[in-house]
Amino acid sequence: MSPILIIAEHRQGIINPDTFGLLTAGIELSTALDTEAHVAIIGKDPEKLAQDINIDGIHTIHTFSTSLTYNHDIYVQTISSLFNKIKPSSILSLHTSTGTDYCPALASILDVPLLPDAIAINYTDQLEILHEMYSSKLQAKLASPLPAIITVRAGVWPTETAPGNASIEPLNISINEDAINFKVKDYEETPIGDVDISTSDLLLSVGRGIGDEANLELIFSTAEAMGATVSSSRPIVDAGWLPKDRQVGQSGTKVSPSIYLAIGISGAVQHIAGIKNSKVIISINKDPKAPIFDASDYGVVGDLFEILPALLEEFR
Amino acid sequence: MRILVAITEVATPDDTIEFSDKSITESNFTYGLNEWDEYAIEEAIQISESTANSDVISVTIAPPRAEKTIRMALAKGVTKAIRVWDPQLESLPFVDPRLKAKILAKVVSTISPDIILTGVQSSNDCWGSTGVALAAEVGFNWATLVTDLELSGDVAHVRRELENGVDELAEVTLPAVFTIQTGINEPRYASLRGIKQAQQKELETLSFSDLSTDPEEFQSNINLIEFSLPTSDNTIQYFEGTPKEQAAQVATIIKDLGFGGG
Ligand SMILES: Cc1cc2nc3c(=O)[nH]c(=O)nc-3n(C[C@H](O)[C@H](O)[C@H](O)COP(=O)(O)OP(=O)(O)OC[C@H]3O[C@@H](n4cnc5c(N)ncnc54)[C@H](O)[C@@H]3O)c2cc1C
Ligand SMILES: Nc1ncnc2c1ncn2[C@@H]1O[C@H](COP(=O)(O)O)[C@@H](O)[C@H]1O
Repeated sequence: MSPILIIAEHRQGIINPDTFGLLTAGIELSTALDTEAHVAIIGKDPEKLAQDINIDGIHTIHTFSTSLTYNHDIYVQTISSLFNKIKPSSILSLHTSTGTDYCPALASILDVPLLPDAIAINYTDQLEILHEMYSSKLQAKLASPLPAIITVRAGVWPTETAPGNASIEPLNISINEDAINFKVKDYEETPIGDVDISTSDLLLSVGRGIGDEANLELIFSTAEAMGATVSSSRPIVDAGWLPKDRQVGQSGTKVSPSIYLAIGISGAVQHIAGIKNSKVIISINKDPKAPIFDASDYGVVGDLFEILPALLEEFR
Repeated sequence: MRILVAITEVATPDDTIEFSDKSITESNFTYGLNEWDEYAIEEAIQISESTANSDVISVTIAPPRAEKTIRMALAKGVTKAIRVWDPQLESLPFVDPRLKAKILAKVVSTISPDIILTGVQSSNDCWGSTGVALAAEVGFNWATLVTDLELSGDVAHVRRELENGVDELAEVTLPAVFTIQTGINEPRYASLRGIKQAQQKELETLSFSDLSTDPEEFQSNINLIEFSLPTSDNTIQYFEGTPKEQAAQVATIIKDLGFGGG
C-alpha cells in the first residue's frame, strides 16, 4: 500500500499545535493500512519546521520552500505534484481556515473523493469516516474508495508524541507563477477593547437564545451582580450587539475561566473549540439535546428568561 | 456584472432528529434559508446595487419543497432563480460536496457569471467545502471565509477571517468564488413589495438532462454507511426543580468556587 500523506499546518513560522492531533490521525490510518506515514511541509524554512514535527511514526517529511505566506495556489500545485510522485493512499489535512481553503480544490483537481471534517477515521476493508451533520445532532458514517482527501477536525485526536527520525526530503518542484492569482497582503488581529475575556475568571456568555438586543440588559445586570464578565457566541457579534472582542470560539477568542456560564448557546463545534480549557462549564438551554450539554459539567434544561431573573435574585 | 449566488435550503430539526440507518425522517423539520447564504445573498444584492448593469442569479440544488425559500431570495432582490433537481438525487441521503460542485459548475457554464458567492457552510450537511470545490471545477480563483469584499477592476480585495481573532487581507484576481462568512453585512428583510414582485420573477427548474448529455457524470463517490446519534462520554449533572430551585443550585456552584461574594 502506498503511504498516507499528511499536510502539516503552520502560520508565521510556528507549527499549529493541532497538527499533532492530525499527525496522530494519519499515523493511525497508516498503521491500519500497513503503510508509511509521510508529511509535507510547504512554507518558509520548512526544514526548521520539519524538526518540530519529526515524531515517532513518521517515515518521510517532504519539504517545499517558498518565501510566501500561506497561499492556496502554491499548496494545490505542490501537493498535486507530490501526489503524482508518491501516489498516496490518502491525504489528510486539518479542517481549519487553511485546510478548507485548499483541500476541496485539490480533490477536484486530482479527481478524488473529499471527506470533510472527520471526527473518526477507520479502515478495515474500506475507508470510513464519521462526519457530524445538523449542528452536531446527527452523525453520518461515510465510506469512500482510496485515495481520498480527508479534512480532520482539530482537537479530537491525542497530541502526545515521541521524537522520531523521519528522513527529510526537499521537494524539487517548479511552481507556475502565472497560475498564482491569490496574494496575502497582511494580517490583522482583533483589537482588544476595555475587557479582555481571555483573562476573565468568570464568564457569563450569551448566545442567540437571548432573542433580542434589548434582552442583553438581563445578561449585564446578572453579570454585574455576580461579578462576571460578559462574552458571547458569534451571532451576537454578527448582529452587532457586542463587539468582536467578546466573541468566544474558533474564530474569536479561546477562553479558560474557572467558570463558563453558557446561556442560550447551542454548542456548535466552532464555539466549543474556544471553551475547552474552562474549568467548569454550566449551561442553560431549553433544548435538552443541545450539544453544549455534551461539553458541560452542570446543566439546566429550561427557559433562560425564567432562570436568569431567579439567578440574579441569588446574588442580590 | 453578473453575480451567481449558490443558496441552499436547510432543515432545522425541532429538538430530536428522527432517522433510520440510511435516511432522515423530515417530518419534524422546519425549513429555511441556510444562515450563511442569507449573508451571501445580501452581499450579492449590495454589489449589484452599486454596479451598473448587474444581475443576481441564484442557484439551488433542491427538491420542489425549496421553492418557498427560493422565493424569499427573489423577494429580497435576486433577479432570477434556478433550481436543479433530478430523480437521481432522490435516492441519495445527501449530496456530497464534489457532486454539488459538479452540478453547480454546469449551471455556471450556462450563465457565465463574473463572480460567484456561496456561504462558508451549510448547517445541514456541514461540508464547508462546496465553494472551493466549485471554484476548482470551473477554473475560477477563490477566497474563503470572507468578511469584507471590495471589487476594483478585475481584482477583489478581501478580508478573510482565520482562527483566534486573526484576519488575513488578500487580493484575488477575477473571475472568482467567494465563500461568505456571517457578519459580513446586515441581511435585509424582504419588503411586502418585494414579496409581491417575487411571484412574477423567473424560477427556472433544471434536471440533469438539461445540464449534460451524460447524466452518469453526476455520480457520488461517497457512500453513507449509516446515520447515528452522537455519543458522549461526558458526565454532566443536571439541576432539576422549579426555575428558582435550578437557579439556586447554579448560584451554589458559583459561590462555592469563590465568586459572587460566596
Ligand atoms: C468557520 C467558522 C467559524 C466560526 N466561529 C465561531 C466562533 O468563534 N464562535 C461561535 O460562537 N460560533 C462560531 N461559528 C458559528 C457556529 O457554527 C454557530 O453558528 C454559532 O456558534 C451558533 O451560536 P448560538 O449557539 O448562539 O446560536 P444557535 O445555534 O442558534 O443556538 C441558540 C440556542 O439557544 C437556545 N435557546 C433559545 N431560546 C432559549 C430560551 N428562551 N432559553 C434557553 N435557551 C434558549 C436554543 O435551544 C439553541 O440551542 C463559526 C462558524 C464557522 C463556519
Ligand atoms: N444544495 C445546494 N444548492 C446550492 N448551493 C449549495 C447547496 N449546498 C451548499 N451550497 C452552497 O455551498 C455553501 C457551502 O455548503 P457546504 O459545502 O454544503 O457546507 C452553502 O453556503 C451554499 O452557498
